[in-house]
Amino acid sequence: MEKIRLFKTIKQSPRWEYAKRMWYKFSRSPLSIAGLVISATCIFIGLFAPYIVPYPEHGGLFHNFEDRFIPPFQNSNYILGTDYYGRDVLTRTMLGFQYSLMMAVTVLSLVVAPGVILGLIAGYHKGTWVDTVIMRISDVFIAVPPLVLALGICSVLEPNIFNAMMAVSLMWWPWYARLTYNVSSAIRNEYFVQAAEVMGASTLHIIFKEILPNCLGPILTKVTLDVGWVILIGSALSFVGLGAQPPTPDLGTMVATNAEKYMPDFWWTSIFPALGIVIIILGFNLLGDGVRDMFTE
Amino acid sequence: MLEVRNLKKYYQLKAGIFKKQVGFVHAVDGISFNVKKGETLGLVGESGCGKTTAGLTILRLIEPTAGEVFFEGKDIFKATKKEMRTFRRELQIIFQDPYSSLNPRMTVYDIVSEPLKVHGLARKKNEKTEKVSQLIKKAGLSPHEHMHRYPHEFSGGQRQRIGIARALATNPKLIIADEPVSSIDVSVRAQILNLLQDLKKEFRLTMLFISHDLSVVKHVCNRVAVMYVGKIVEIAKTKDLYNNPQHPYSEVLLSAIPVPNPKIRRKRILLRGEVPTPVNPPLGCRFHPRCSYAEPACEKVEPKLINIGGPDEHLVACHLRK
Repeated sequence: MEKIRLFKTIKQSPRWEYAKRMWYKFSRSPLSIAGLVISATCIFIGLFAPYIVPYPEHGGLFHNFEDRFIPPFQNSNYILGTDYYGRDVLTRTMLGFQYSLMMAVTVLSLVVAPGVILGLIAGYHKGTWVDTVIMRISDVFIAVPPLVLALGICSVLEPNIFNAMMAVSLMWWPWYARLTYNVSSAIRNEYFVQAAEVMGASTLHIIFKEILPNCLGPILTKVTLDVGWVILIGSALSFVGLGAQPPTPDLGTMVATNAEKYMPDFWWTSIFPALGIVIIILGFNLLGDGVRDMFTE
Repeated sequence: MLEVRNLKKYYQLKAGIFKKQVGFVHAVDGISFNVKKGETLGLVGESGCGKTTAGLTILRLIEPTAGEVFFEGKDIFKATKKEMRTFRRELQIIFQDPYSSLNPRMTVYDIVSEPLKVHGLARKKNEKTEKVSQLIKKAGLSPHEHMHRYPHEFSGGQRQRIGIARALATNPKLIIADEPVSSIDVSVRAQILNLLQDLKKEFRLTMLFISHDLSVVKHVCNRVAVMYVGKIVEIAKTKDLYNNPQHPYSEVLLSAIPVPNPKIRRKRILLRGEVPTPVNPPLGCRFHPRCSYAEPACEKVEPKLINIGGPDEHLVACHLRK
C-alpha cells in the first residue's frame, strides 16, 4: 500500500505538473519558441565563441593587410567579409556576443537582487516611513535617464567596460524596486498573507515564502526583456566611445568605429555587428513575451 | 474565554495634497462582549457595520485605536512578541474569500503544513505528512488525491475546507470565522456549516462567527450580538433574540429573514432612509433617525448596553427598554 502511494506521488509530482503547464502556455506562441531558439543560440555563441570562431586571433591586435576589405559572400574563408586590418567580421561579431552578454549578465546580477529585496521590503511596509524612504530614493534615481548618467560617469572616470557596467547598474535597480513594490504591495493585502500573519509567521517568512513567489512572474519577464535593453545601452555607450575601447571586439564599438570611417563603401564592417545587436535584442524580447504569457493565467 | 472591552477602531480620513486630516471613519466604536468557552457567538449586522474590522482587530491584524481584548485573562494588545506567538497558535481565523486566502503558488500540503512549520510542531517529515493528511481528512478532503495539488484545481467549497484544515493545524482554542460561507455556493453552504459544527465538537473549539446571514447564524450560534454602525445594540441567546428581539433594529433585521413557506403572511418592517455613514454617525442612539419608536431622548443621549433578561443575560442598548 505504502509503495503504491509513493509511486503515485512521484508520478504526479506537483512541481512537474506545474512546469508542464508553464511550458504548454509558453509553447503556444511560435514567436516565443523563436525567441527561445534565438536567445539560446546567442547564449551558446557567447559562451563558446573563442572555441568555435574560424579565426580566434582576429579578436585582438591582428592585421593581415593582404586580405583587407574583402566584401561578404565572395570569399569562402571570410563569409561576412573582412575589415580594414583584414580581420574576419564574422569572428569579431561572434566574439562581440560574448561581451554584450557578459555586460547584460553582470548588470542584471548586480541589479535584480537588491532591487527586488528593496521593493519587497517597501511593499510589505506599504504606507509607513520605510516605504516612503525606499521609494523616494528610487524615484531620485529613476528621474535621471540611465544613458545620461552612464555618459556622465564614464566621461568623468576612465571610459572602459567596467565603469560602463557600474554606471548602468546604478541606474537600473530602481526599476526592479518599483516593479516589485507594485506587485508585492498588492499581494500584501491578500488574505493568504493575513493568514500567515495570524499563524505567527515571521516577517522574513512572509516576504520570502508568501509574497516573493507570487512576484516572480513579472520579475522574470522583466529580467528577460532587460537583457536586450542593457545590451542596447552598453552598445550605445560603446558607440559614443565611452564603453569598451578598440581593439576589443565589442559590437557597439565595431559599429561606431567602422561606420565613422568606412561607410558606405565598406558597409559590411558595421552592418553585421549592428545586425548582431538586433538579433540579440529581438531574441530576448520575444523570449520575454513568452515568459510573460507563461505567467499570465 | 475571550473578552472584548470597549474596542475601537477609527480610520483617519485624509484629503487634499497635504493629507490634511478631515475626520474619522468610526468603523468599530467601542464594542464590548465576551465569548464563553465552548460556545459560538454570532456577530451580525449589515455590510459596513464593522463586523469584519472587529474580528481582524481582535487578532491584531489591524491595530486598534483603543480598547482591550483579553484571551484567557491575558491582554492581547499588551502582549510581548513571545506571548504573541502563543496567542497566534491558539487564535485562528477562517476567511470569507476562499479564493484569496490560499497562496496560489503553494500546494495543499504546503498550505496546511505551514502553521506546523512556523510553530515547529512537527519536525520530522513523516510526522508532518501524517498530521497534514489527518487534517485534510478531517476537513472532508482526500489526502491521497488532493494533498499535492494547487489551489486553482479546487472549487470554492473545497478551498474553504483547505482553509479550515489550515486553521485547525495548530490545535487552536478559538476560531474567528469571518463570513465563512457567504462566498460559497448555496448548495455547498450547508456542508461547510455542518463540517464546522462537527469540528467544533471534536476539537472543543470556541467560535466567533461573523455573518450577515441571519438564517445561518440561527443554525450555528448559541448567542448572537447585533451590530449597527460600529456599535453593538443587542446581545442575547439565539432563541431569545429570534423569538423576542428587544432592540428596534434587531426587530427590523429579523423581519427581513425570508420564510420558506410562501403562504405564511408575515409582518415586514420597512425602514426609511439609509444607513448613516460611519464618518459622521448620528448623535444619541445611532438608530434614532430610522427608528419608528424614537423619542426626544434618543436624539441626545447614547443608550448603554444593559441587561434586561436576568440570569440569561439579554443585553440591549435602547432607551425604551428599562
